[in-house]
Amino acid sequence: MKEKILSSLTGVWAFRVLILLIVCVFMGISEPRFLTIGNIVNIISYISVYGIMACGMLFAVLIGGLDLSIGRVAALSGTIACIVARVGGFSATWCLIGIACAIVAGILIGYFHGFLIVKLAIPSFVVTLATSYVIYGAITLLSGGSRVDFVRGSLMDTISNARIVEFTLSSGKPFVIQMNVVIFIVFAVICWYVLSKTTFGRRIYAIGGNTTAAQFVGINVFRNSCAAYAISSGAACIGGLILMSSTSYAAQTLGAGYEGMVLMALIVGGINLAGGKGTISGAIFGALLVGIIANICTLVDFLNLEYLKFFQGLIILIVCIISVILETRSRRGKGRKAKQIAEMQAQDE
Amino acid sequence: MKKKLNSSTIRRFITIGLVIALTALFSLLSSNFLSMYNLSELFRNAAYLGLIACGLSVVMVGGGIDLSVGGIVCATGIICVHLSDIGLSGYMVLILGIITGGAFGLLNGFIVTKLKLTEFVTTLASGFLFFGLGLVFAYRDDHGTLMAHSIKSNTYLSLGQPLLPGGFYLISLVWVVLAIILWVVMHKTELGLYTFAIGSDEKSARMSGVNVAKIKVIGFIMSGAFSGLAAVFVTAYERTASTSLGNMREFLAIAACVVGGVVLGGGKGDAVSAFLGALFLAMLDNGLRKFGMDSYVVYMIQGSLILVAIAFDSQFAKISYRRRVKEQRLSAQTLTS
Repeated sequence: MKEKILSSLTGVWAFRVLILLIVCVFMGISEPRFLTIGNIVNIISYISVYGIMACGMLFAVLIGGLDLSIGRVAALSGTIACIVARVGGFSATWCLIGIACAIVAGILIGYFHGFLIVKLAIPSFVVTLATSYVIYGAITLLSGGSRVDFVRGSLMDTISNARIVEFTLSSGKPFVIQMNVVIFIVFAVICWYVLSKTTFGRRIYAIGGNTTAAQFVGINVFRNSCAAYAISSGAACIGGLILMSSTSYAAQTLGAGYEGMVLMALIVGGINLAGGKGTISGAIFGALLVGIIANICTLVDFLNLEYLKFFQGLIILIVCIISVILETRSRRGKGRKAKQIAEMQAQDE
Repeated sequence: MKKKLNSSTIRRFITIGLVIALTALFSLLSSNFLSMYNLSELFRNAAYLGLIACGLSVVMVGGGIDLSVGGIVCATGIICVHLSDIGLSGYMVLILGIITGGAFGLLNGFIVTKLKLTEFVTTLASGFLFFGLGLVFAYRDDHGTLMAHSIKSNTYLSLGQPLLPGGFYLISLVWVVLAIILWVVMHKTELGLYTFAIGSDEKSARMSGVNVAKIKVIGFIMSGAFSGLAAVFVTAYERTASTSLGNMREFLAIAACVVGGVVLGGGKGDAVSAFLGALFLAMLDNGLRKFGMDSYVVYMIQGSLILVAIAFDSQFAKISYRRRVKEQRLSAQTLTS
């Protein structure tokens, strides 16, 4: 029992909570606007898109791949949804058809990725980088290079901006939880269930841990990998729809750079890019931290939001270096322990 | 005995054939494709991409990847404009630009070899870092918004001027010369031999006593230095350094290497492959734009091309492997009989 408490104190979650606490306390002291309820709701609303994309991309990363096309896929899904819905004048049914078309397109793109990566054995980052340029061209082809607006008040508006919970706090300020946060939470719970409670989830971990072994056990690597990439692209589509809804138009620049942010969220969340290791909670924690950093950049005057890219690179590098150092240390520690046990056994004999 | 062509020679001929076919196609379809003006513009664009690709090919032959070249171009370009503002002459800026790029490459190499991060993660993250560095150093007005700032130093600007009255740029000349030098380095020196060895099989190279870390660091420094060089010439030609400098260049440089025949994963290809690949991509870009195609169609074609080239190479490797196995079996049979 004592060991259990101790391990939970030194475990991954304690580390994460500690980081969050340090950041929040530091920011709360230096910037009084940071710890207001309005700002916290802001952050959660801001990370909903990153969070959904991170949960989806986690599947691709778990099987040892990467998906660098999610930013463009997000832009594509918004564009397709708007263009299809425009045919029917943004009536509710046509909006639903548009949304369905967008998600189906995303899933097809994911399957195409899986085919190229698994069947033709092309590295995943090259495939997704290359398709992201193809998709960029396709978006411009579809939209003609200009932004596609949707009618305010239609179903498209609801995706992100519908108010689910709304009441006034004792301080007189409104407290609002929007649809995007709800979608994010529902999606995260579904992903958590799929990854930890279903055979499909176990297969994903098995493929990422050791592809050859997974194949020998009888797992259909091709089919399951395709499904993982499809989930990644599908999640990017949902994220893109929310993004489109909250910015109130679709354009080819919509999700630009999101792949870097999501990758940063995953790496900060402790997900091993070699595959096989990582949890949904890690991805969400990473997204939360990314959201807080972005929020800090907007709140503090001397930091420009453009500097985010700089921090993005710096944080990915530092976190990766720390995790590599920790890993080698723990491996060495394990080796030392094994040696000690072996020596003790030799002495006993 | 008739000497059989090996697979890299066949691959080289395929690339040369592609370049010639494209030249023939565009010169037939468009009358001014082979004009002096268009060729010099084509070679200037190709050199910008090609210099980066040549440096990158060293890393790629060694089995690595460098996704930070675009970021290096951006950061170095903006730093160079600052350097010339201090009052340094163009030639000083040129040398310092190469050194700056090389230093960025050294950082990549240090992280990859000493801190044991994978090349992909390191260079992706450091790419963000360098682009961010460009944004940090970019010229801003009092409100913090980006503003254009033109280069004043005359010697610096002269680097971007045509050499001949008809128009032939220094960058193209430097590109051709450096590609040849790099080809010699890769094929005639120990450094090149070791790079090929590491790219083919890192473990056996290490077992044979190759200093893998040193060779890898040199590769990254080369990649960075070539990107820095390209950045100096491009800023000189554009007369300013914007933050969109180098945007997407890492993707195009990889595309150039892959189309030219540098195999992802290493061991095959050289600077001339990168040279031909860059020429091919620049020609495609130039020709398609001549026919009024929009840039997004060009993006789509370039994106598909990279996939086709890699898929082709993986199938090509399979075929040449089968051929080699068959030959070995034949020679074994003749020996036993």
